Amino acid sequence: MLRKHKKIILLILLYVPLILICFILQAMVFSELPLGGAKPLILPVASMSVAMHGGRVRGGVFGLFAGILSDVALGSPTILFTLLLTCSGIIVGVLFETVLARGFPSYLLCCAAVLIIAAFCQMFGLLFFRGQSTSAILTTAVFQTIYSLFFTVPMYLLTRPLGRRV
Amino acid sequence: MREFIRKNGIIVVIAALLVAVIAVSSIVAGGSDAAGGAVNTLVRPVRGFMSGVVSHFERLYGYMYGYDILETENGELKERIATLEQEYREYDELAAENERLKKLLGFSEEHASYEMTQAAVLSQTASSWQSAFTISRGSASGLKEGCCVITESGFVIGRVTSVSSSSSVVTTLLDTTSSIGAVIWDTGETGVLSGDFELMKRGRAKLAYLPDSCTLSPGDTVITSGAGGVFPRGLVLGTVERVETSASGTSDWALISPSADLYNLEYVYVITSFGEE
Repeated sequence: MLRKHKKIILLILLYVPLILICFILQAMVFSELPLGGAKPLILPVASMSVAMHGGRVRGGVFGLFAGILSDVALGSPTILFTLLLTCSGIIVGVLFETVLARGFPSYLLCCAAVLIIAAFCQMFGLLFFRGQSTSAILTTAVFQTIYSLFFTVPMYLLTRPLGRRV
Repeated sequence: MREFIRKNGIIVVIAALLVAVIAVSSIVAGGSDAAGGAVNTLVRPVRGFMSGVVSHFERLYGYMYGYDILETENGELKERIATLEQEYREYDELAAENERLKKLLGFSEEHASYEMTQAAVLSQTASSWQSAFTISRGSASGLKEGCCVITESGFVIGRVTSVSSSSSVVTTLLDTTSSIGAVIWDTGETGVLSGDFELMKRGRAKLAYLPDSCTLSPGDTVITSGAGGVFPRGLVLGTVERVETSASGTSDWALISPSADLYNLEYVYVITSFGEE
């Protein structure tokens, strides 16, 4: 029992700095460095990596907090990312525990899927309710997804030791 | 004598040749004092070598002796440069602040009824889909949702859309949710300045709902109409870049370049209340 508590405390001590670093990078550093008018989503990428290496429980919990912080960083009062990252953390965790092989290609695929869903949810209102230019919206969505995928390599390498050893 | 020549013949010949070479070279050199010239010629390489050795030792001595002094002097100079650079930076900041406050003073004198709060820009939004930023003042400083945000020169930036106790989110006039009643300064014609996603990426906005008889031309200044009560009347929004006709061909719209430099903001001014002027 004591060992289990120690493990939980250790996990908190390891994942809290990770999530904070990702939040700072997304909200304060890369928000000033747009690429093609798009800014990267780093917290979803980190969330998927934790889900792959740590499983559905860690993926879900990390996804929940990463989602809350994403909603704060993106300045939207909605709970879009809270829902999206919690659900995707659990689903991706289950997939890696059952059918998917743990490795970079499958991780990259999962990240791309979540980022595309996130971009679609973000552009939904602009696309269908505000009548904005489709090409400009799609270009931004593509740039945002590709820019975010650059962060898969460091996140994969950073969270791999946490998933295996703890 | 013969014995002497046999024993020292080679030396004598070499000495004689040397004397002859010296004599010839001093004559060629044009020296009046042949003996002095000869001696000089003989001594010159030795003197040069000795001079080189001495100067080398002098430099070495000077380096060893003066190193500490030079090091101290170098450190002092570095400190001095750092102090001067710091002073220069402070001067630059003060000059910029002075300029900003002068403009604000001018604007405040023109609009005495406005109550304004200065706020620093903290960060840009992390969203690719909005044009917004966070400022350092919130409800504790009297800010409310909908407050108008301007530059020190009175150019419109946007409005406050979200407020916490110590910070607020400002949505710029480029954002797709933005819609401001506008008037063309020169002609008095009215329209609505609204954000467009494609134009937002280029730092421009759209002036639509123009009258059929619109006589807009590039360079015209667009100001706030005051309709809706969010923005006071007469604040500068931007200038007309070009006029275009909609795809259906039934109405005109103008591409507006905002007067405020929305990408290089350090401080903004929030109008917390404005009376009728």
